[in-house]
Amino acid sequence: MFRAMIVEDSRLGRLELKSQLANINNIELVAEAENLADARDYLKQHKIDVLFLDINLPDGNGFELLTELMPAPKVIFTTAFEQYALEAFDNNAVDYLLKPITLPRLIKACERLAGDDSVDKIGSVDGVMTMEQRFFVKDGTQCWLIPLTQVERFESLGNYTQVHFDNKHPMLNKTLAQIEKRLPDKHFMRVNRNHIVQLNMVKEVQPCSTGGLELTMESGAKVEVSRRQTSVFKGRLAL
Amino acid sequence: MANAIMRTPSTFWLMQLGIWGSLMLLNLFVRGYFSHYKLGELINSFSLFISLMIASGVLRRFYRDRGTDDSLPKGIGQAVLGSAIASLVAIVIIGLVLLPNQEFLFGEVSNLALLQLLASYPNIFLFLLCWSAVYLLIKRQKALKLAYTREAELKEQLAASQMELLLNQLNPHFMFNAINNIRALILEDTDKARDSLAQLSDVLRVTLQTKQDKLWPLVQEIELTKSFIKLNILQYEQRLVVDWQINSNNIERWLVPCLSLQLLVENAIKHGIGNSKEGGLITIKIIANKSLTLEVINPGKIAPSSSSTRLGITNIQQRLNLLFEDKAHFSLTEHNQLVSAKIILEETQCSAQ
Repeated sequence: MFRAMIVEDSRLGRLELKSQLANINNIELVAEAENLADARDYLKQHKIDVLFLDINLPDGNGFELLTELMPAPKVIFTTAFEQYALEAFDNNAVDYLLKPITLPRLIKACERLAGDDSVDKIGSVDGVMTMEQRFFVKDGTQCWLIPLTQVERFESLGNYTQVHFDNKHPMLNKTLAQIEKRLPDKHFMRVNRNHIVQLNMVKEVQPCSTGGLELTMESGAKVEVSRRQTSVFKGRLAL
Repeated sequence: MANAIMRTPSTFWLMQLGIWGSLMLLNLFVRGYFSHYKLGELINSFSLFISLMIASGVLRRFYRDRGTDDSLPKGIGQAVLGSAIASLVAIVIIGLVLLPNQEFLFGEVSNLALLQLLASYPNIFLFLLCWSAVYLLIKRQKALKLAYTREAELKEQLAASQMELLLNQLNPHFMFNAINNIRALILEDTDKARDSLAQLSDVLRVTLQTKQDKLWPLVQEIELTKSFIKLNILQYEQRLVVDWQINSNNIERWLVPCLSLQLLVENAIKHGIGNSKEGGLITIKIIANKSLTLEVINPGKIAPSSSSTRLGITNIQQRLNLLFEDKAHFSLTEHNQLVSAKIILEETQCSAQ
């Protein structure tokens, strides 16, 4: 059973979706929100598994909400006409329904949800992610749902963070400190002020002239471990 | 335009060389046969050739300065006049070459030489008249072809802009949301759902008929706008409140561009209501006295560089310019967190006949 939330500003739009979801066994509708602010408030306190998310909302667009959630829930976008925005997704990372929504199409989307078990039920917004859980990144017209296992490192760029994965480098609208709180510290470590690396992706470790260490990552990128963190890092690797 | 047709002087002169050259050779051959190829006949034919070349150049200049749209009698008159003048030029040239040198060229001085020369005037005139007929025919043909191409291009442009207009006015986002909302309304209030479907078809019908370049009664525009607003209320419900202020006792007299008030309201809803959690009030003011003012006010600010707003404004302005030239005015202003879009039409241009 999936716990679902509808984010949609039109009451009739919500009614329409709600009445159709009543026909679907594996979905339990637990919440409705008419704008991003209400949705954020709810998600701070509650867990949901799937979001039915409108793209055009009074206080922003649905993508904004999705990028804030780590991990990302399963999401089915609902849209009157912005399907072009969703076609940019890598390998149909998320599904979408065109309004007016029809039951056969909705059933298909929900079946697809059930078949996709790469996402565990998500924790609360402040919870720590598992390695299999994914987060949503939108950079220009490109979108990705990235599982933590694929991330080589996070790099701080002021108020933004660059995610390095699979030779791609999109930006996240979050600080490195915000991201650090969500990462399982068994696999990720902050090695200096600007970098968090995934320990499994470290290929080589060499001592460095400044007294710290220099890491060579899987991609070939080099990251320095600060002197302060060197002993911690050695301890972690020894484990 | 004439310059555009005859842009290739080399082709023109090559043709002259061909026509007058062959005439000269024919003349030389026939006359020479009877006079045993005297030097005089050679010079005679050659001066005829040169004078006809010059005459055709003069004619070309003469016709070039005249349009191609003249009536047929006027065209014929011009051809006769032009040929007469050009023949005179040709005769004078031939006379200047032959008459002073008669003895050297022909071995004798004839008293009838001047008369003979004048007698050849009708011949030369006929040559040049035929030449003019062919020249003018070609010129007209080219002008016609050009006009056809222009017309085809214009038609193509018109079709493209009409298509663009249609796509601009058919707001798919609005349409699909309306359909989705009506679907839900069927569960809740079937009578209202039935009314909404009728309103949607009103809006759809006017939109699809591409009446944007036409004027229609203000009363009908108001009815259409009311249907449009009701469909939007399905989407926004209590977030959208509309206040109509109609200040006129002769509202039936006025004609307005089709979908003009509707477009102002659509923009006001999009920027004033759609972007706001709380929604707000849209005020529609219609003031008709000597002139007609349509004003739509929404809460918010003018988006500083939104390209969609720009496009909408440009469209309204272009349409008003096309329909009224300078007798219509559009303005978009912001004051105290309220945005006002206003169309003012002057009476003379748009009151119903």
